[in-house]
Amino acid sequence: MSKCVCVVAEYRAGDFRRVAYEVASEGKRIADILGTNVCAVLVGSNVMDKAPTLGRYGVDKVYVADDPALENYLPETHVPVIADLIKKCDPALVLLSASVDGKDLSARLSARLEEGLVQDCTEIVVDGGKIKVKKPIYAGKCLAWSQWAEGAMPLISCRPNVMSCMAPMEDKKAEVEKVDVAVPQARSSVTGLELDTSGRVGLSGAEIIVSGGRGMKEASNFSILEELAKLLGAAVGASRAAVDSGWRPHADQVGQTGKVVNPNLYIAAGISGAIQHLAGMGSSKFIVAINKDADAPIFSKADYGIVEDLFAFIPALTEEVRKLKSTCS
Amino acid sequence: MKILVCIKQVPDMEGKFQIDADGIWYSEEDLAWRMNEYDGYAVEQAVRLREQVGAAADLTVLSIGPDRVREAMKKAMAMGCDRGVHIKDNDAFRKDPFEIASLIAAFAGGKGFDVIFTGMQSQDRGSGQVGVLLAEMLGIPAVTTIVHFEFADGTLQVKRELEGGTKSVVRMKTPALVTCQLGLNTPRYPTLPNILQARKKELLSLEPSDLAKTEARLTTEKMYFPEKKGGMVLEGEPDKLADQLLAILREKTLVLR
Repeated sequence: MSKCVCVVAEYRAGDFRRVAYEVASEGKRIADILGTNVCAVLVGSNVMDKAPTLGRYGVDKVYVADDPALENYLPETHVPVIADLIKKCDPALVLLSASVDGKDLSARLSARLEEGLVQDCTEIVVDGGKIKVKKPIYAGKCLAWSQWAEGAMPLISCRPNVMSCMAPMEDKKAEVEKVDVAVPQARSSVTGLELDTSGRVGLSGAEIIVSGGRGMKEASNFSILEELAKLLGAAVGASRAAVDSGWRPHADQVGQTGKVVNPNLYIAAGISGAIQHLAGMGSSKFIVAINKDADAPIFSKADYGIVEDLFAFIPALTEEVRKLKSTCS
Repeated sequence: MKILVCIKQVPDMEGKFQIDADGIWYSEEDLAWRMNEYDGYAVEQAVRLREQVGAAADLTVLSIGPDRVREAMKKAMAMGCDRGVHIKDNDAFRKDPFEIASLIAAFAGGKGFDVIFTGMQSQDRGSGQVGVLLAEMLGIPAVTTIVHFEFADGTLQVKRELEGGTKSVVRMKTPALVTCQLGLNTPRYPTLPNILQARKKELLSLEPSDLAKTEARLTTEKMYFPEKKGGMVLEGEPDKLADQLLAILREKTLVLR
């Protein structure tokens, strides 16, 4: 059998992150085309019990490094260990996640393994046995296909919530091999985590996002978006114009500078759709835009456009959602 | 203390943008150029560190590209960088992140930089790799996407932005590299006296061939504009519209079931 497809399964706070299943599923899809199997690399603390469950997403074998020193992601400890496990797999290509930690890890591995990396891929194809990948560039204005030189081991980080997750094969377990590793001493250390205690849904990974822009007119008006978001279980985002006006914190900014998001539903209220914003939300699965200006560029990205005053429409929508929720529960 | 900040010049985001004849990169005609936004945060933070340390600090700004990138470097020097290093390369846009980082590593290696700042990614290619590659090549720790920076007694304490509003606090001894994210600071505008003064600062020019020869790992095969979505526009009374939209969302999306 030809060389395997290796997936690096992202793990945080006691479980796999959803993107790990997306990456494993994509790995399985490519392995089937290449006629090979899927190996996974798993690094963490107390992860042995979870390792076989990757089989549900098409992984045949998992190489595990389990050590208390590997609890939190730190480049200095994780990168050498993961690099060694990848070498043990001896794969044809490696898939990783383009999460915050995943992008950090991927770039470090690229330097360490001296192999080329494409970050934030949205599509992978096998063309005559060669791997080619697509990624948005120039703020999503453009798409580019890249490929690797002959004999290279492609490193590919996959944008979360873009590649589809396979239906889990409930009874399938992956073979597990525990590898003894020497975890290097790190010169940097994670001394704490500051959690968001606001109780709000975070933008990254949110299923639904409701965002407001300049059309919100002032900070206090965001309360109507918050009300809708609360009913929908959605996160509240903002355009750069709203953040620069001081209405919302930097952390809420959706855009090329700010967060790149791809929820299942994105509702843009009073956002004109500057390229900087479109870059941050253009790959959302379903986009609804509400704007008074029928010529606003946001409508070119929207699946459905509502040319209406948001202050009339959003409360009406909130009311409809409230009715729906009360009849369902 | 020796500080290095690496910057890239990118096209203005709102510029008229066309794909070049080869179909692998953009045409540079009719584009305005500016400092990559994230690099602006990196320069600002580097200058603040330089001011904090005072006379014992020396801050170098580095950029790779054709002669036009010197404009961005002059801005960085007007903001407070002491000197510039221009790696003159008309072909820089064809180089992949590994090649770019190798050039910088060849320059910075052995020079004893204590702190290196970069942006978290460029606005054009958006690879988010060069800073991290550079750190690994130099064998120093790096923290990506920082939104807070402090320095005291040879130790950096930074906050790094993770998903879901979580921030992790990371401490490390220098030498180290950080990549800068939106929210870290507000870059200053250079004043006229500082702009004039910056003209007198040293701006060294180097050829890539003086530094390192690295093979490209990646090639761009083609680049193109995505298809326009051309969505539906709904009209009517807000109440009816809301009802109609909900029905559509329930039918066409996985949410609201």
